[in-house]
Amino acid sequence: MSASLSRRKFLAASAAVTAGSLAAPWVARAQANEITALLITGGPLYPKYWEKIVQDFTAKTGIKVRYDLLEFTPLTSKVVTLSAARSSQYDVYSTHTAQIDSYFNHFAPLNSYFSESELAEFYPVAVKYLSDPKTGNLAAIPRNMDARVQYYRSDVYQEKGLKPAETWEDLVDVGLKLTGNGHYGLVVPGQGDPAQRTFSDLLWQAGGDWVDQANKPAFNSEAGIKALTFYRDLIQKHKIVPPDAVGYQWNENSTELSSGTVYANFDWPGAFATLSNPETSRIVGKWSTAPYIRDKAAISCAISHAMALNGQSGRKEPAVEFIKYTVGPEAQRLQFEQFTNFPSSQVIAKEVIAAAKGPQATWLQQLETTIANGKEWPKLAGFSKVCTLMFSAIEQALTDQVSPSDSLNQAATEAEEIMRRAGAYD
Amino acid sequence: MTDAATVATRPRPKRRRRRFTAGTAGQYLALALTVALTVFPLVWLFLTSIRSSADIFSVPVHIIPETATLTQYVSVFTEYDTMDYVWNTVIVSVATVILVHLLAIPCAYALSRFRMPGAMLIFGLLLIMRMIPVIALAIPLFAVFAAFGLLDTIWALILSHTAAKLPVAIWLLLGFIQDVPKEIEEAAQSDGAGTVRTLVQIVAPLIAPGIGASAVITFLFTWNDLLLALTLTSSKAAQTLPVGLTNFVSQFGIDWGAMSAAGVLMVIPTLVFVWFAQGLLVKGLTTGAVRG
Amino acid sequence: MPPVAQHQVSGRRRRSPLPYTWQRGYLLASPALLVMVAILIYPLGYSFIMSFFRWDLSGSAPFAGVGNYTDELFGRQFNQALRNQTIFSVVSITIEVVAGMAIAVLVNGKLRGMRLARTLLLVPPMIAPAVVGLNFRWLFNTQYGLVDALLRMFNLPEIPWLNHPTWALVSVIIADVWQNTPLMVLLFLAGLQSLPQEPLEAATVDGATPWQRFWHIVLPLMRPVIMIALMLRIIDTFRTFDVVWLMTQGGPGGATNLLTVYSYLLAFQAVDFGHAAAVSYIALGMSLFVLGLLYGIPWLIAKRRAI
Repeated sequence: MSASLSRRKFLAASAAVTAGSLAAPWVARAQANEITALLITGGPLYPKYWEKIVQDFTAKTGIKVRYDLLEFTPLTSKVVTLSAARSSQYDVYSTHTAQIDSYFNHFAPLNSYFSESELAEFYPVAVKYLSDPKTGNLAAIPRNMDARVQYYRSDVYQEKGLKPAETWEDLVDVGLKLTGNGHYGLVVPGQGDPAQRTFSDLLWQAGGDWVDQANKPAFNSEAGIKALTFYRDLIQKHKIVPPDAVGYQWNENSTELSSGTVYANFDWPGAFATLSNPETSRIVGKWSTAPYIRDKAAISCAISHAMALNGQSGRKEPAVEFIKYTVGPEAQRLQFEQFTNFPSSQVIAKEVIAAAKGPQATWLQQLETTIANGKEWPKLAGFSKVCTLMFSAIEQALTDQVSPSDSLNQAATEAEEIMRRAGAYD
Repeated sequence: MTDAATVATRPRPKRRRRRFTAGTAGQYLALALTVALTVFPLVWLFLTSIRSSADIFSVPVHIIPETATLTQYVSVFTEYDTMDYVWNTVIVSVATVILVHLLAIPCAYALSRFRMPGAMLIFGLLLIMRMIPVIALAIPLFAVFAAFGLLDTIWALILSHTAAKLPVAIWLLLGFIQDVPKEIEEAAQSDGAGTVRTLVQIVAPLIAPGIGASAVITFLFTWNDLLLALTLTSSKAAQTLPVGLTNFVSQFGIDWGAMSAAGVLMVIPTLVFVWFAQGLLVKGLTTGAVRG
Repeated sequence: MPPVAQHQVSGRRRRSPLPYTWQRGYLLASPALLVMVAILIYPLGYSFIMSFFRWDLSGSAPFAGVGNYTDELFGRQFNQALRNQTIFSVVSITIEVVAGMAIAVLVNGKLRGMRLARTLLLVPPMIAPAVVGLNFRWLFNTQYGLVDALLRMFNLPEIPWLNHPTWALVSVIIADVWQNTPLMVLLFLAGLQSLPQEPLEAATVDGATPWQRFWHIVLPLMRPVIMIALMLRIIDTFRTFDVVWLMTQGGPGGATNLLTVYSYLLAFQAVDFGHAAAVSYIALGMSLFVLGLLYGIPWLIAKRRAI
């Protein structure tokens, strides 16, 4: 479709079609054997990693890759903008399970590019939540697994004769014994998506879930209210979490532990490398890992960073080759070596766990357990918007503006309306 | 006025004198307080920028850093692409200033001198454009630049900033042009100068202070912008310093030290203009307002 | 500063021998107008039209009529944002104008160090809002920030700046007041310096106190400048984004969600561009409405008095 044609349509007021086709595909100027990619970065090691991957890929296939790197948050908003404009500027995107439901109609399905046996190699939880539940289309392929375990200050715990918490009750007990003198026993993030993640884990642990059999909101069940009350009490009643945590996201959650102010948190695999590096951590050699806490169940989220193919791309074949390379064995091994990213392939995961020794081996087994029991919130139409609603609902309960039950009930009513409007029940 | 008149019948010179000295002391106190409140957030920014990373997260807080260090400034340039950001920001800001004035001067001249039907409509539009929340434009603007293949280029930023800063510049210059006596132009034109020559050779030099004022304002507002750059760029080919500032926030930590150092660097042009072009800056900020 | 509004009339009514034709006028103005139409008006119209569609990434965008607008106007989150926006605008503008006027009168006097003070006051308004937002987030951190550290030092109760809904709104207002009060000072200072001296001198001779002179003479004469200052601040508080986004992202629990921040969340987090656009236009409409009141009410009063 040409630019002028789409403008005429705009004038004819059929704006529906025009939503993004203004971004006419003639922007694509790269040569046939060249593709473009928008990739994720985080910390100083990532740029070197991508440089190596791209070099190796080009050496192997002759396909050149031009790429830009962005941190997770700017990457997310950039992909939203690019998709809104139906841009074909990038053939390949780094993406993530969290917002994937928004892109089901924008990323090209990858099913036909992977055989059954190839797909079976990946962790099923990852593939499941990257697929559109309605059509079964695979919107992205997992590159590495994201799951959390407990990180704690082994030196302080030993000094006080404490063991890392296993249950919710332990968490409060241990936390109370550690809090004081400007230090806190625990930190959990309390803002935006990280707050929803934390609530979500507690919801599953308490025996609840996001939706029921009919996909109607069920997070305001007794389990949900118990989870949110517990979460709030950690901050407001027991005060074992720094009060500013209600404004913290993952980065400040990590910093509180690595700076030595707080003695325990739940963090992603990348934390292992961050805490081991003297440039980013003041507690090198003074920490250890433990399994995530449990209540009725020992469930927490298992999500993944993933690679997606732009539906507007005019060079799908070479682009898919690149995507396949980034989730292939070489790339997964390198990721693990460079920044201890947990592989998305079960085969490679087994391999690295077998090769690991000491605390790292223990940690990897803990992670593997989390992933095996892992879940994710549903990928129903409109759920991204429900998330925005949840951020505010959870934060309001955490800051004592509304009671947990009122906040969840209100959110459940509004969530159902949002999903109905988005067509989740059609 | 009536109150003032009634008061005038019973003046109290003695009390007024005492109030004068107490008043002066109060004035100094208020002045000191104002200055202190203005300065202290900036001092804290500077103090954070010369701390070691360990000192930044110390509990209890050391208000004065234990040791002063320049490591944050070094890391700003060695670990991040700050030089690229600085360079992009300079190019975008300077080019925007030039482009804005090439367009704004003739436009302001036309609006103030020529009997244009629809001038009121244009004034209304200028006001509306000044009022648009940039968020409303982010996605469609992105689509426009995508259509022209200009995404993630410095040109996208220059053009969008030019458009965004034009209304204010035109408004500002309008006031200055209207102060130019028309007789001077008439003299020039009776000597055979055309419209363009009159504008370039006669009017422009007369409104030089106005151009300077709006140039300073345009430069700094472009230099400081975050949202347009965040929307239209995605690589160091075109990212600017304020966007660079947000890159100190990564998934596993916020590099407050380096971020503060970059913040201090960002403030430097402001300080330079405040110190060396104070008059122009004040003119730029106040002209439109005082003239109404 | 030259006296207020002496231009406007000069020359425009007189017949001029110059070829000031409208064709030439438009020729000179057209490049600027074209750039603004292409880069501002076109996207503005585009998103305005799209605010009447269910516009997201689902591939189709059915017409929604005024649905996006009614959803928001009756929605809980929008109304929370509207309430925050109202408090934010009213409180910060009031403080900025009153404090700005007080400081302007103060700095207009002949005290030592006045020049330096005036120079320093120029700095905050010209600093990037991004820097201001991040710096205040750090200042207000209850563990590592300066403000609570100072409170602790003087044994005063600590304040839960950014982690308490009310205090968080106070915090973003403080940041806005810090950045923009000096701008008000500059405007009022310029206004004060262009005031005619005769009425003031006459009042002094009549024995009016400084306060009476200020209240009955200065303030009425400053009305046009105050109106402009109000207008600028109303427009800009409805556009505020960077500072609040970097300080609180609208949290906790939406307690500092302003209309722009809410619109950004709708677009980039909820991926719901139609509603996001609707919120933007409601914000634009509201600031136009408030400006209308600001200028309309005095005009109506004046008209009634004339009758």
